[in-house]
Amino acid sequence: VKVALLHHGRGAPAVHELAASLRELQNDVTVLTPSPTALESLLERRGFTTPLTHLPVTLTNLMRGGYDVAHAFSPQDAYAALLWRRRSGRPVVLSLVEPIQRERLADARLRLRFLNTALEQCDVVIVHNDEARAAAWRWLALEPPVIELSDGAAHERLYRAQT
Amino acid sequence: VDGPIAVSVVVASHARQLRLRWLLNALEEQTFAEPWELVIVHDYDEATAERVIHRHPLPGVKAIEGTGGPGRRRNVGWRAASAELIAFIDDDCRPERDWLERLVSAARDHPGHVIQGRTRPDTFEGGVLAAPHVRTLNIEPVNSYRETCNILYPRELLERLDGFDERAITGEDVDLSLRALGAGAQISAAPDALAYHAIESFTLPGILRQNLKWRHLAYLVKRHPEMRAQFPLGIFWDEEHLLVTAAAIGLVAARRHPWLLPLAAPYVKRASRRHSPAKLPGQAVRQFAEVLGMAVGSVRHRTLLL
Repeated sequence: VKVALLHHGRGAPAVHELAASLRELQNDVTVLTPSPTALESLLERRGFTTPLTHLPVTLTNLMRGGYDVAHAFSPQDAYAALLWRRRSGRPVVLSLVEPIQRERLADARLRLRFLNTALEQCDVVIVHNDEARAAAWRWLALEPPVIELSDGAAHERLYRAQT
Repeated sequence: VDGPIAVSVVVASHARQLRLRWLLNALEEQTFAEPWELVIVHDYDEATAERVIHRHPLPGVKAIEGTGGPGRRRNVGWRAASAELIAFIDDDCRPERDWLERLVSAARDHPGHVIQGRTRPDTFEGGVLAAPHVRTLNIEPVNSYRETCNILYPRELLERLDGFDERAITGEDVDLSLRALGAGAQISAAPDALAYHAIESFTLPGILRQNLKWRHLAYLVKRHPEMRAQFPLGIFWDEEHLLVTAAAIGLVAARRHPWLLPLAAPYVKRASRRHSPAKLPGQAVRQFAEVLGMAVGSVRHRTLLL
């Protein structure tokens, strides 16, 4: 499976571990981690959820990559992947890796919009531990499957089921 | 907890399933120790309602499918409720843990009164206030509008008034409270019954679309001409509408009559105090669009309100 793992740098080691695990299973994996630009702090001062400025680069990379599946690790990356899906028709997986806390669900501009869109439109939403699943149920009324982030084989099965 | 239901909380919900879920969580944490029930009137599909409402662990929830405006839904809700006290809260609010306890306590201290709680912009969402166009509520009870986002009515009063005016597209809560006052009811404050209101940001076109609904306030004012006593010159909804209208007249007329340009000064002075220079043009457009919208509403409802 040709997979794009999208993340914005936070929690990078775990994503790279997943990439390594998937590669061991002979998958073609690219980790897309575009650097945020200098505009990021301006957006943050204006109350926006960040990082955001990397999204056009993420979208461009997805368009050029010919991927079978995009796996995003934040709602804003999932948003970019969903734009890619409109063109490609390929599936988008969202991992809820950020803590799901009421205090943070709508604490910045666009955060709730990205979250709503990602939850409604992504092909699959997953979490990586039981604690996150419990929080997803309480705050998002979702019961996503739990797949350990380091479990490449389970991720591969998930991707194959979607493609 | 056994015994008669002390209070029914009524919520009308539309297109806010996540926020409704958060409200249910906040209601689940209420400290109120007596039996109470929650009545939700919503238009969610079956699967969403099952997930968000029916499987929520909060006991005593009546979920009713209902369409139409907020007045209609709230009427469906309170009529299906069992208690003599009906508390209304909006689906984009987050009550403090003791909200219901305080509201009911105030209702018992003031039998027969309408009880209005305090509403503040949600402290969890303060970052959104940096946006140039936001919508939230900041209410110190008892205020002029007595919004339904945090208020309690005796059921007997709702029955006597026949509930909300379902023809009102907006301002149905103000209308109800004015009719309550007209019927001799008293409205008391419960400042410690605190609920937080969501803070939503909008683009300029988004806030213009959002505020288009205010054109229907003309209907409200037509029904309650006594409201005009609090309006500047009796026809402007608030002072900003008066000042932005004067500024627009000044700017347009200044081409032929330059001496009219100072008409814009009061608006610029006031707006400069409230907004940064970068936000000023957007705010002016927003306020002037509101005035234009209200002019359209005035024609439709045949009464002047700007």
